[in-house]
Amino acid sequence: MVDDTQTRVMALIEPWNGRSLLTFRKKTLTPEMSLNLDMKLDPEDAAECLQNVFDAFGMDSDQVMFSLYYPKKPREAIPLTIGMLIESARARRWCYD
Amino acid sequence: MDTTEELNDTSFYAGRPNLAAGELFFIIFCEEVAEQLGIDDFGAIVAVLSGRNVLTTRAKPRDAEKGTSYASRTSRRVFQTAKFPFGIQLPTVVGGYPPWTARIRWTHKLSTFIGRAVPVVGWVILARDVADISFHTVNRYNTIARGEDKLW
Repeated sequence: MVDDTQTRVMALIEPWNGRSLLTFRKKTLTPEMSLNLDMKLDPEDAAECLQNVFDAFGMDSDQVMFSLYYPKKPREAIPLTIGMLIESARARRWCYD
Repeated sequence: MDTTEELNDTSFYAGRPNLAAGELFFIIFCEEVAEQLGIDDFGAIVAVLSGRNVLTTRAKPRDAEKGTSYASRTSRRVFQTAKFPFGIQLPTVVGGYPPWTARIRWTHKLSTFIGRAVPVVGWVILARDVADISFHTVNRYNTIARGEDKLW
C-alpha cells in the first residue's frame, strides 16, 4: 500500500541514503529496511533523520526509546525500520516502544 | 665507553655505570620513552580524550546516548550541514570503549565524520609511538650489548 504518507516519509529519509564508497551505488529504500541495521546510519545522523520525520508530521520524538535501537551493547539492537516510521506518521504518534 | 666502566661484562649508558644486560635494556627503554614523548603525543592524547562524550546535551529523541564529545560538537559547529560530494558515504567508528563494542557506521555528513575520526587519529599516533619505542629500544640495545647479550 503506497500512499501519500509513505511517499513523504521515504522522501525525508532519502537524503540520508548515501552512495557506497566502493561500488558508488545507492541502496533502494523499502519499508522493510532499517535505519540502524541495514542503512547503518551513525547514531547522531539517525537521531537527526528521526527528528526531521517527526517534525514534518508534528509528532514528539521524545516518545521514541532511542536506546533500544542504538544500545550500549550493539548486539542487542533491534531494527528501526522505515515501515515503523510510516505507520507512526499515519497514526500521528509513535506506535512502538 | 670506558674500560673502567665495562668491568665484569657490565655496560655504561646514560651516565650510569656497571649495568648488567637487563638493566642496560631497561635504561635504554626509559631513555627512548622520554625521547619519544613530545608535543605530538600530547596532541594525540588530546585527540583521544576529545572523543569521549562528556558534554551534556538535551537528548532528543529521549534516551539517545547521553552527551556529546568536544570533537563532535566542534566539528558540527564548524561544518554544520556540509555533505560529501556525490552523496558518498564514509565509515565512522562508533563506541569502542571497550574496543569490542566498536561498530562501523556510515555517514554522508562531513561534521559527523570528522567528529568521529579525530579520536581514531589520536589512537593511531599513540600506537605508532609504542611501535617506535620498542623498535628503537631493541635496535639500540643490540648495538651496545656485547657477545652473548645481543638479541640477534
